[in-house]
Amino acid sequence: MSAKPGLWCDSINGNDMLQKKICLLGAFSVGKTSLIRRFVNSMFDARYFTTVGVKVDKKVVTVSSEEVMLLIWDISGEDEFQRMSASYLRGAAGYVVVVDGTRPKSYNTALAVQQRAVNVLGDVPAVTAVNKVDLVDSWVFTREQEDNLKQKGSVLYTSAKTGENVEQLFEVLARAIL
Amino acid sequence: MTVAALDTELEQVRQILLGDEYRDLLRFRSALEDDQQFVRRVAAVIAESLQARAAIDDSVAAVLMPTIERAISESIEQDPRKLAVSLYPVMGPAIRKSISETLQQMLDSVNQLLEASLSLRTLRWRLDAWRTGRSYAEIVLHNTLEYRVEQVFLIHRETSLLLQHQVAAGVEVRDGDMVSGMLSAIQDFIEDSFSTHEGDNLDTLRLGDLTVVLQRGPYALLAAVVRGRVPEQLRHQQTVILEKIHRFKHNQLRDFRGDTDEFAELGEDLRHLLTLKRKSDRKSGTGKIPWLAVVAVITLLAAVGYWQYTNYQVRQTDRQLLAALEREPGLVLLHANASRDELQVSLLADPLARAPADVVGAQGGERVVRFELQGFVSTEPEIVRQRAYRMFVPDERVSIEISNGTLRLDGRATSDWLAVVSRRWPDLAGVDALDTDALEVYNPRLEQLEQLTAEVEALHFSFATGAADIDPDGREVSTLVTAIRRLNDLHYQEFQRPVQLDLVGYTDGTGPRAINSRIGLTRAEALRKVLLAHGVGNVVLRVYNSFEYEEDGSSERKARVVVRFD
Repeated sequence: MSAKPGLWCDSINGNDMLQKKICLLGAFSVGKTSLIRRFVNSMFDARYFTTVGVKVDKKVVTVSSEEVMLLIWDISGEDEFQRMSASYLRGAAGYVVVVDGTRPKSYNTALAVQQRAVNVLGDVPAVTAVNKVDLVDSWVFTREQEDNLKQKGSVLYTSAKTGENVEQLFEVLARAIL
Repeated sequence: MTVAALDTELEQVRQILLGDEYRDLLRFRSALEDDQQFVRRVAAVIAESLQARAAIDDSVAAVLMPTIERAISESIEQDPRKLAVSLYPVMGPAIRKSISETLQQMLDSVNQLLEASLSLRTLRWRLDAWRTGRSYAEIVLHNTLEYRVEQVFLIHRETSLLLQHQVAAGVEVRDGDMVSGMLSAIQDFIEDSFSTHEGDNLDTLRLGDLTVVLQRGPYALLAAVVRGRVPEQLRHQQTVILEKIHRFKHNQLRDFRGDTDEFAELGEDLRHLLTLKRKSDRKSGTGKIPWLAVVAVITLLAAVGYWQYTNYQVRQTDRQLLAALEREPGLVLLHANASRDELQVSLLADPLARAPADVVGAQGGERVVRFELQGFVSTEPEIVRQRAYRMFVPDERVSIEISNGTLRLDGRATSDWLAVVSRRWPDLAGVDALDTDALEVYNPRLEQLEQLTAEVEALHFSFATGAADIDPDGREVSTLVTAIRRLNDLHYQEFQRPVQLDLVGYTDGTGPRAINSRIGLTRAEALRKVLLAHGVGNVVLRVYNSFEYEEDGSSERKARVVVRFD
């Protein structure tokens, strides 16, 4: 279960706000967990821990003066040996596809993952995050790839390390869901 | 005009007025009147019509239900196999699941019965307590809490969002929303990783004595977190509640878009699941006498009684001891402090009084008594009497009594002693008068003088007829000298002057009186010489002749000393 400290509550959760499940998808090591950590806890850790299965976090965001509780499913990364389980996607109101700007392979994985998400979820809002914008020196992301992604929804250049565009990423998605 | 001609004319008028529309009307009429055509028309739209109506309300289902029911029953009457074959894929797993759940419940209850009837269990708890070093009560508590349903989660299956969360009082919980998500994720993970059959579900998670029991409906999942043994009826209760929820919230569950407000009213139902059971519940109400409680109460009463009794005894002993101390002359009780362990006594004690420990003596038994003493001078008669004895040291012929502050003397005492008493009695604390009426006072020196006088006067020196010689070294002379010396000493002490002795000579009656007188004087003179020779010259010696004699000559021829007091 969640290892996040400080989330003890005394009794019944009495929240009456809207709840939405969203998912973060993408190749291994693109920074899905780091984006969530930055977003939820405002922290960054350069060490890499691979996510096994899924980890659920939550954060309340305010969109157009309405509060929404996002339940963020951090789904383990995908590569040619391990495919993402579709059942984790079920019931998501939207999703973020994460691409690693320094690894061209992650772009291909992103396209495949996005296609499977469409198959499971249909036409729900999706946002693409091109992550690790702080490592712009080793950037391999092309204009063509960007254009291609933009056809499927918003594209944001993010950095979990510096926090750049992370808040916006989730805000854009929440706005699209509502 | 004939009727037929009129009709033809009318027909022509209609053709002119309505034209094509008239032909359409005719076609519509034939379509409605011709059953074949009407059936074809309705068949084209019947599915869409039903769909449209169903979207508005449930009347289609209501209308169709009796027909469908009849159809199904007729179908079963005609050939049950047909429907059985169709339902087989659905019914098979459902029946299997039902049977296996019933069996599991049966096994659980048999286990519970077996375990409850084993009286060895309490022995095992004692062993556990001894082995683990925990208290027996702790082990019993742990073991007697059969189960407690601590939390209930109602989770929307599709989105994994938490609809309702109920927590038993005093249970610490994590964030329910995240737990709900992770619970769903864990199920997905397990079902994806290990499941072999479609429709197989994870229904129990277990960690230590914590069990999460999952029960599913079509749209919602009910997870109960149980500490201890999972009660056999829990699954059934979960199912009942889930059915109820699906019945009343069917559309809201189906169309759920993240708004949990609509499910707030379900909290009450879910709270019914939060139950707690102690193992002892099972035994209550059987009408058995609670022997353990009875024994405990009796033991307690006995202990209290014994304690009271010993307390009473101790108090009695203390009272006796204190009374004895108060009675004792020369001791004054200041205060006493009694506790269960010891008796502390503060006393004023005259130095002449008995030691308090001796007063208490064997009377105290086991009782520990501690004394705190302060010296003082007592005026109690007994102590004053002792003090008087100590001060005056009377001889055994005298007795001293103290009454009302008067020192009363009785018996026989020397005048010297009385002189001392008379001088010193005012120094004696507790005495303000002296009473000597009953005392016989005597002077021991006078008595001794009398005794010595008798002794001296008893000594006779005898002579032959006409003779007057005395052996100066004779035993009689030395005896007399010694006696005279002591007599003189005493006399001097008593009267501060030497004793006066008359020396008297005696003759017999024969011979002439004048000669006898001379012989008598000679004899007294002889005694004087001897005495002077022995150094008793400091006494006053007078010499006489005694004329006391018998004419017949039977009188003694002698000389002797007569002591003179005047």
